[in-house]
Formats: sequence, C-alpha cells, structure tokens
Amino acid sequence: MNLLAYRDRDVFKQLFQQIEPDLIRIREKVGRKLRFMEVCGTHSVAFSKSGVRDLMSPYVELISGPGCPVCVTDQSDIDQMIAFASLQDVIVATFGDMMKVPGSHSNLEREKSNGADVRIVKSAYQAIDIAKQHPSRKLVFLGVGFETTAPGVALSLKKAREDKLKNYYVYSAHKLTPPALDTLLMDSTHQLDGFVLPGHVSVIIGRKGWVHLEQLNVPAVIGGFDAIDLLIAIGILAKQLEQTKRSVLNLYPRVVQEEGNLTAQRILAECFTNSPTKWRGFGVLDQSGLLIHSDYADYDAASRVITDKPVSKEIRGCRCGEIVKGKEAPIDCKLFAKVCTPTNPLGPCMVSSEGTCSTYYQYERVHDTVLLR
Amino acid sequence: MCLSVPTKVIEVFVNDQQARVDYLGARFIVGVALLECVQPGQYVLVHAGEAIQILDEEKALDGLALWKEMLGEA
Amino acid sequence: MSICYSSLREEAIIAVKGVGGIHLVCNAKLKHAVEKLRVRKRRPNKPFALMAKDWLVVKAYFEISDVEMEALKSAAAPIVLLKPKPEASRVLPLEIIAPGMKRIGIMLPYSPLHRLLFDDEIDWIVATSGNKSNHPIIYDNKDALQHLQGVADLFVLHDREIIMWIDDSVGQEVDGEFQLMRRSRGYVPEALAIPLPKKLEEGSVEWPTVLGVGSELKNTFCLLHNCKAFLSQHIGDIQTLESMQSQLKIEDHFMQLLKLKPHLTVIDPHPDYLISQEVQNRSSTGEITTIYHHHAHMAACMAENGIDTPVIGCILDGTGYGPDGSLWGCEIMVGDYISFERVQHLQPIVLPGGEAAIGHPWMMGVSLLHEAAENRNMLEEWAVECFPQYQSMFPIVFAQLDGKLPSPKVSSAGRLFDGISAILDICTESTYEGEAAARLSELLEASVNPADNIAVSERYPFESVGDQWNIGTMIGSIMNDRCQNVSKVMITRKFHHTLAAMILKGVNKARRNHGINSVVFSGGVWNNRYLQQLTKELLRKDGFSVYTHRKVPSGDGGIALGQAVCGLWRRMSDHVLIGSNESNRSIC
Repeated sequence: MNLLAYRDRDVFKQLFQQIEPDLIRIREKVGRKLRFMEVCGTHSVAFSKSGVRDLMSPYVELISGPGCPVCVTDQSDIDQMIAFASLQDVIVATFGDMMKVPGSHSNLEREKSNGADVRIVKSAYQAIDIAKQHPSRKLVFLGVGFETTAPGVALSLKKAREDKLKNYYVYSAHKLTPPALDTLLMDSTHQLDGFVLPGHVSVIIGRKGWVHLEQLNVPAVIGGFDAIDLLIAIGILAKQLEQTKRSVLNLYPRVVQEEGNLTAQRILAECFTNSPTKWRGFGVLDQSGLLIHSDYADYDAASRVITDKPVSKEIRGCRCGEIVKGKEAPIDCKLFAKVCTPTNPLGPCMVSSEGTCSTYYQYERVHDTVLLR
Repeated sequence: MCLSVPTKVIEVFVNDQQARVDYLGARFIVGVALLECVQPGQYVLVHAGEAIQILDEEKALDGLALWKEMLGEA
Repeated sequence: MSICYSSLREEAIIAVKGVGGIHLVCNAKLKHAVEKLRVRKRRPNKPFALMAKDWLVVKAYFEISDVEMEALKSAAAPIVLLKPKPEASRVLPLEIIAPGMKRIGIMLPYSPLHRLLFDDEIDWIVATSGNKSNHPIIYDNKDALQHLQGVADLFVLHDREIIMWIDDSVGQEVDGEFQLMRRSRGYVPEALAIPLPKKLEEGSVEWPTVLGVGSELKNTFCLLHNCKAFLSQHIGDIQTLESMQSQLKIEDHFMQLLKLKPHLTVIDPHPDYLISQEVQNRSSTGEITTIYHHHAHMAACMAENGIDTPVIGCILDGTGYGPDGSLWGCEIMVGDYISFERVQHLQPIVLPGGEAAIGHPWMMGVSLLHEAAENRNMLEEWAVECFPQYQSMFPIVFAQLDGKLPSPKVSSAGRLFDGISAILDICTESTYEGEAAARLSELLEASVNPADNIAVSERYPFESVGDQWNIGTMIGSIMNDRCQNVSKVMITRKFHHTLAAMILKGVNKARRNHGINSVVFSGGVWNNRYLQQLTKELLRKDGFSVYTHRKVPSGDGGIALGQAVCGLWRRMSDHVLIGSNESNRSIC
C-alpha cells in the first residue's frame, strides 16, 4: 500500500488545475478572498510547510485558529504547573512543548536548571512508570491537550487505580475543540466562511462530533494532513460556498469514522467531566474543559497537591490571546520575529512546535504574499 | 505533540493493552487499549504513545479516486 | 619530465592528471614543499597521502605486513595506512605530512604517468586530490588550469578525457584483514552480492531496482538490482549545491552504464540533509521510502557479510538522526533488514552550539565535564583547568548546558571521543571532520612502552541506568587521572577499555533478551583499530560471532548499501510506503 500517493506531485498538480478555476469563480462571486480557518496545530504546520497556504493565498485567506493546546492554556494554569515544579517532593512529568512556555515569573526549564525535578515524557504511560520508580515522591503529570491526547491520559488514571498507585496525579488542562469553534462562529466580526476541522481530534469524536455545524449551515470538512488532503479540503470547502445546503464532509475516511473512537469516548466520560474552563484569549467557555471526574479525585493534582496560589500577570505586548482566535496574525504582533523568536520565545504561540507564531516564523516569512487581513 | 503517525502492528501482547509496532523500521511499544481489537499486520495511528485508530486500508486506497469523483460532482 | 624532476627538487607543487582526476604532487622529503602545499590547499592538518616509487622503498621505511603488502601491490592500488620505521622520520617530515597521526597513508604508482614522476632522487611524493576545498576532485584540463591556478606551479596534463572522476581508496589492516575505509578507485563499480528476501509465491520474482542515496558525510549511493549492489565511489560531503549536483551526475552516469532506473528510492530522514530534500522535491522519482541512519549502518554490515537473520548491531558513529528525533550515535540495537529496536545506548549529552560546534571539540569537552562535576564550582574549576584559553566563551557554553539557551543532545560515540580528546588537550579545535577523535585513537597506534600494555580490565567505571550508559563517573575518573599526571596514552587506553566493557555489557543484555548470538560492527568509529580488535576479542571470548566491514566502509560511505537493502526487504514484505512526518516538505 502506498500512502505516499497522497503526496504525489503530479496528482497534486492535476488536482490543483481542476480546482483553481473554481476558486477564481467563487472568489469573484463572493467579492473578496475566501476566509477559511484551520483549527488544528498540525494542520497549521502542514498548510505552511507544504506551501499550500501560500499557493491558495490569491483566492483564500487561510487563518490559523486555536489549534495548539499549549497556546490556548491560560496563564493561570501555566503558573500553577510551574508552581508544582517548585515543590521538593514532586516530580513533574510533561510533554516536551511545555518546558519553555513562559509563565508569569518563570518556566519549567528554568525551574529544572534550578534543581526542580522536571522530566519530559512521550506518553502518560511513561509518567506512570516514573511514579512507580519513585514511590516516596509525588508525580504530577501535566495534562495539556485536546481530545486526541486526553484518552491516553484517562488510561493512565485507570492504570493508576488498577495498580493502586498512591503517588500519581494529573493536572488536567485538557480542552475540547468544538466549543472554541462555536464561539468563533458567533463572533460576527470574524467573517469566517468555513472550517478545516482537525483530523485527529475527529478520529476520537467522529464526524458526529461536528454535525451540529450543519444546523448552522457552515461549510466544514474534516481534512487529512498530506499535501493532497490539504488541497482537497480547500477545494471542497470553496465549492460548498456555492451550495445552499452544506454538510460536514469527512475527507479523511481512512482514519475518521462517523462514530469516532467509541472506546476513547467512553473512557473520557469515565475519567473526566466537561466543565467550564478558562482559555487564553477566549475567556471562560462552557463545557470546554475536561476536569478530573470525582471518581478519580484521588489523582487530581488540582485538589490533592497543594501549592501556593501563584499570581498571574499578562506578558506585555504579547498578542497570543488574539492570535489563537485567528483575530490577529503573527505579523500583527509587534514582538513577532523581532524580540519574540523560537530561541527567545515570549509567548506560547512561539514556543510550541504547533503554535501559529513558530509555524509562521519557520515557514511563512519568506513569502511576501502572506497577508491575513 | 500532535505527532500522529501510521505505524504497523507487529505483535499484540497478551494483555491486549500494548503492542509492538514498526515505524520505518524503528520498533517500539505503544498502548492499544483504545482499540477494540487490533491485529498484527494492521496499521494504526499513534498519538502520544497510544494507538487511537486503525487505518482503513480500503478507504485509503479509494481516497484518491474519491477525491477526483467528489471534485467533479460537488 | 625533466622539468618535472627539477621542479620537484625545487619544492614545486605540480598538478598531475592521472586516471581518476588531478593530483597535487610535491616532493615529500622537502618540508617546505609540504608546508607550501598545506597553505595553498588550505588544509592545515588533514593528513596527506604519499606515493612511493616502488614497494622496496616502502619496505625500507615502513613496517609492512603481508596483508598490507598484498593490498598495496594489488591492482586496485589503494592508499594503505602504515607505521613508519624510525628511519622514515629522518627522510620524511612526518609531522607535517600527517600531523598528530602515527601512521601514514601510502600508495604505489598506479599508472605509467605516475611511475614517470619518480627518478633516482625522487622516491617519495605527496599525492593529494586536486580540488577546491569541499569540492570533488577536478578532472578536466580546463578546470584544472582555471581552479588550480595559484595552487599548482606546474601542470602535467594529458588529452585522455576523464569521463568519471574517482578518488583513491583508503584502507588499513585490522586483525589480519584489509579493511576499506574509503571505497573508490580500484573497487568501484564492482558489484557486491547481497541476501534477498524469500518470496513465498511461485514463479519468478520481479525485484524492484532500489536506489539508496546515502546521507551527508563521505557520501556514496547504491543501486540495487536483483541480488547485486553497485556502490558508487566516494563522492564527498553533500553540504553544498555543487556537491549535490555532483552526486546527481554520477547517479545518472551509473544508471546509463547499467541501464537501470530505480523503482524505489531510499533516503535518510534527517530533515537537513540536502540529498534527502532533493529526492523528495523531484516530481518523478517513483516510490520513496525512509530508512533510519543507524538501521542502515547495521544493515550494510549484515549485507556485506551475507547475513539475513536478526543480529545485534553495535553502531558507533559521529551523528545520525534517530526515530525519536534526536541524534544517535552509540547504540546497541537488535534487528534485521525489516526493523530494529534500541537495546542500550549512550546517555544523551548536550552538544553546545549544536552541529556547528562539532568543529570545536573543546565545547563537547566542557559538556562532558558538566556530566561529571558534582557541582558548579567543580565544573568551573575543571573547565578552567582544561580549557583556559576559552574562558571568555564559558558563559555561553554554560548557559547551554544549563538549558537556558537551546542546544541539542546527542548520544554519540564520535562526540564522546571528541570531548575526551579535548579534555586531554590532544585536540581542542578540529580542522577536519573527525580530527579530534582520530588524533585520540592514533595515540594507541605506536606505544612502545611495555608498561602501557595494561590489562583490558583496567578501565574506568560507568553506570547502566535503564537502557542508557551514564559516563559521569568515567569522566570524573579521567579528570582524576589527568590531575595526577597519568600519561595520555594510559588514559586513552583505559577509556577504550571502558567503551569495550560498555559494549560487552550491552551486547550481553541483547543476547539475554532476544536470544541472538551474532554481532555486527558498523559506523565510522570502528575504523579505530584498537577499539575494534579489543571489542571483537572480548565478544568472541564470550561466545559471540562478530562481523565487521571489509569491502564496504564502516563509516557513512556504507549507509547507501544499508538503505537500499532495507528498502528492498521492507518493500517486499508489504510495508506501507509513507515517507516520514519530517518529509512532508513543500510540494508546490
């Protein structure tokens, strides 16, 4: 089986030749460039790295939305995570991206170089192993991620219970993607024509997780990540604008199913409860966060691992809050690429490998044509 | 973080919780507890150490034909 | 030719067109001539090869075994590394010819023109490739006159056009076998037989033609057709557009010669390798797949030795991209052509300054001290002790070691050698790739002091933590020895013994967990004879079968072979061709 076919340059060129006339025509009809938003960090990187964002730019403004879970984590959560690191008897386990995210006063990497025990793990399972190796210390795993990551963390909670671990805790800053999207839709100043829905979140929640968009008649497609997937997503979205009745189309059927992953959904419901949660930039959104279920309260770092309550302050000049909503582009931030760079990041959007700013810094700066206004 | 990659299942462990997989030759172990039943030889999407879905080979092969069709019709 | 002889006597540098390209030649006995050549070629330290008038002259001045003589006199006429006798230093300025090295690369004249360069007085010449630095050897008369102006005083050219340039091959004897370190003139394009996967279906099998394009340094490519592998000549480092075009040109040449076109191309997944990017950017390459660097190393040694069952691989090299996105290079792995698994490896160590700092081994030295020092004071004390001349740069290096500035971590044997070489003040700046490591290992080439022949058990401590070797205690002990003025040779020997012990332990773990008894060595660090012989012996005593490279370079020159064979085997076992995440580059 040759999945490389989804990157075949010749097929890509042919498809683009087919799609381009449609894009020109629809742009004419609408009277301005089409405005689509991708809501997944991996999509942001894929569109930029493959050059599709730039290729589309004469017809489509492809705006990067809240696709990066690190970037939408509120400052108060970041500060709390860093506070765990300062406790003597705590080992903090986290995914790599969190290490350099600036808190109000410090970051995890700095805490580590000052002696805190902070370890990078590739999975929650690894964190469980570390907890087992150090029974006399508390292990706090930082749960940052969307619906794709949360099930793995849920499994770790189940494992902790099964293995009767007394020292494993999770600080859950997990978030659900649809509420953010819904909020952006309600924003009349945004003028978004359609969405490229996150491919891997959809693996978990299924096409059914987005079907409510059909009631709003919003063009939306679930897209894959290879170059041809990306091209098709934009092409179909554009065509949907010409139709009166739109539906949420699954263009990534090789892994996204109608129902999604039911096992994962069940486990999420078992271990987490949907709650209102504060997002960077969005403020508090209803039913948008996954807090640890009362059945698993023993493993909830928020209530079981006590720290001093950190005082949060905003980062001066940082526009991450507006950037994650797609209201501003990285280039609109005065700090972007001047003071705030991947080696010296001031905000999470530049730190995370899937943050909008770091993506644009790496892949979009050479093109003069990138203008997202 | 969102590093979902299709990898080939080599061996599912007896407890059905973990499997040995192959990605471009590199073999390692992932969790498979989120999948109902996965078989060696199948391809799975892995995210943060857990397999989250089995790759539907038929749909993958149909993909390109489907796109061409949809573009013509849609 | 009389002009030649008198010029050589007068310390001239002559550009001579041979069979594979232009050589720059001077009288090896004249110190100033050799120095002049170094200056003009901008090559301060990398060793020059010598060409001797005949084998009698070689025998008079160099120690030479039967194996070495056979290689020297063979039709391939490679450069062979030989130890000079005391007499040699009286006639040849050895320290200028090969700074810091105990052995010299010697070859015999391999064409009538070369033979004519010698006369009664001139019996030793330096013969180095005529090229602009980091460019392939020049082989065209016009190019020679243009680019070597100012470098050569005299040009000896002929009108037989060279269609395909080729460098000299280089090799050494290890344990009674002649092992090639660079496979080129005289050996290329002879094919190597490789094991094929067993296809269970009946009927004749259509084997796809596979092209492995290699990695970055000391690159070669490999065309695999049916059961024959055609490894190209040494092309060089593919770090510039010109060198990449060079490789593409040779690829075309081979494909025309053999009338083959690849169905499958295999690349190294390192995101910065030019040749990998080039293959992915071409629109019509057929299928592409990716094989990891150290997997390719292991496979290359397996293929050369005709092995098709799983092995334990001891892969020690300078740098290579690993499946977890970090740089690997000191690995015990198990696997076969299809897949591999990491069993044990060197702990990741901060490489201050990243890949650019590979030329400054002192930085790696500081990084090693950082692993060993118990506290900041000790680190600073040691750093000042070892590298007083770099004190002004310490703040930046420390900031990287503390994680305040970003820098990658590497688990690399090559970098470990570099760091220790710097700590022992053998080489703190590398003027060519691998210089620090080479100078360190060369120390063990000519010990005459019997007190230096310490037992293998005399070594430093190290820790195995999980699947990782930690070397903090080893470095600490090295510093102790250093402070107590233990000789550099002794410290180096103990370090080698420690590394061998680490490998023995790792290989034993692999055998326990996987039931495999065959071991392959691959990666450039195995060109280190002392390490190779020592480790082989230890493993064989423990009942392992050990296989090394002979005809194919152990370094990155062999990667392409491993890539091609793995690509073929994986393809035939129906693995999905998906490229890699990193390879999803611009398609427009």
